[in-house]
Amino acid sequence: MSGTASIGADRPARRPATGPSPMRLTLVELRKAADTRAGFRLIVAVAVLTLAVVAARLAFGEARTLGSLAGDAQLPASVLLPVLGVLSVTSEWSQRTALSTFILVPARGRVVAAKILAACLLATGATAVGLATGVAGFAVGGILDRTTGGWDLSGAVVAQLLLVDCVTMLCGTAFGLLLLNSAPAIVTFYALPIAWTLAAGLLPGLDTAAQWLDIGRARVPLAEPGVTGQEWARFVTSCLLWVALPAALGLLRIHRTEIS
Amino acid sequence: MIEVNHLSKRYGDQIAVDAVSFRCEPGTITGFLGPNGAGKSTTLRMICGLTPPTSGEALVCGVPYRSLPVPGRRVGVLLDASAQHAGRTGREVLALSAQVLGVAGARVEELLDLVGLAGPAARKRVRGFSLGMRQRLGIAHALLGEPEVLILDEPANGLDPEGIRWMRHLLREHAARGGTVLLSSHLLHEIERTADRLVVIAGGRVVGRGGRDEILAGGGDLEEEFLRLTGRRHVIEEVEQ
Repeated sequence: MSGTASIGADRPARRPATGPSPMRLTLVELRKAADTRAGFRLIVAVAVLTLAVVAARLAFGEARTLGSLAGDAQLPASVLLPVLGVLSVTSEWSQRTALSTFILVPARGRVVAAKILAACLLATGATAVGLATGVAGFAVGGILDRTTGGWDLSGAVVAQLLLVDCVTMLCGTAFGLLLLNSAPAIVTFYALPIAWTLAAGLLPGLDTAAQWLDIGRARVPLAEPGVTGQEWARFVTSCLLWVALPAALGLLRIHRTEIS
Repeated sequence: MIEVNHLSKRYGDQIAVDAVSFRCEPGTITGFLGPNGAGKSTTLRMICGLTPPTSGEALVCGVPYRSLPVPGRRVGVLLDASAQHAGRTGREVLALSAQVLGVAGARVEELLDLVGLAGPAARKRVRGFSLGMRQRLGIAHALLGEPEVLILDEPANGLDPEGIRWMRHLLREHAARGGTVLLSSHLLHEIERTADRLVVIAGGRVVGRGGRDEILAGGGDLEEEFLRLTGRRHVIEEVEQ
């Protein structure tokens, strides 16, 4: 260790007057998602599985359309990526980094906003990678005569895929915010669709409710063009229940909780 | 400058911190002492805006900590050296915070060098760090934004004698440049050599406060005085009988 310290007691002129911008905080959150081994491996796994899913779809079964390949390519991201959304919040508590995070940025809502933005950017990236893999798969499949239909992919479907990916990711983030604990948040995220299916099977009356409240079901029509008004209403309702509500409660909890 | 005015924290029926008041002036090192559970860490967390006080206030550089636009540029905080992501490298921990603060990457290298974590140590993940290395990383983290105020909870824990000496030198130099240091420790001998002002709390209340020389005017050493102030000396005497 060297003996001299560069400390700021004698250099007050270099202080910035404003806090870090939302953009800067979002970039920091994106970096945090990938700078640990667990996060990096999860992202690599999503990329590899995306490739594998497209290859398997081409190798087995009937000939594929561009739309079905592009849709299937989103599967790994929609299943695995929300774990990153959960961990981006819960690891701050399990690894106790919340201490230095909130010491540097005391406005906790700004950190949460950056995490939500970062989650959306990650989901957007995953959608883009999925689409690119789907398109590349369609081109290769065309040579191998394993495809059907032309190069038409509706812009509406692409936008809907993106929306569903973002919402799925944010659902993970919202559960993380609400529970602040990795294992319960991840288990709840995966167990919820199963619970709906079981419950709807046992109680016939619940089936109608599930169409509005089960996000896993409400998002299915968005994989195709021509989503009706009622289908949008169902999707938005389920999002309010499983994304907006837990996120709002979680934000409240984070504002009130003591960081130690 | 740190100003703590009648700061209290109550958890249900229990009073963790009871109307604590003290000031840390620029150019001084204040040692913050007290037995385990006296309320030291709760007080430090309230000063840093992590725990809302039940009543009273704490001002850092004249305003509540949470009102500072970029607190890391005014106040360097080390509350728990173990509170870092085990899967990040030492360098990454500093680089992330440097990005938040808008501090250049060169500052990260400068600090790794300063605390003796340059080279292979910086590429190691925090999981593999000893407590002493974590403390040094935490000190580097506190110094990142070139702050004028330092708030350090048990920073000497786990440091080797050379490290303790280095830190004493660092803190004295900081104070000599007009910086303010608030430092908690159980290493009384070390506090006696480093701090020039003392605040002693027990059971959430301030039981002693003043210049080191004032407090030690009776001629005893700090350990004697600490045990007397915190009401623990009789326990020792009973044991000795």
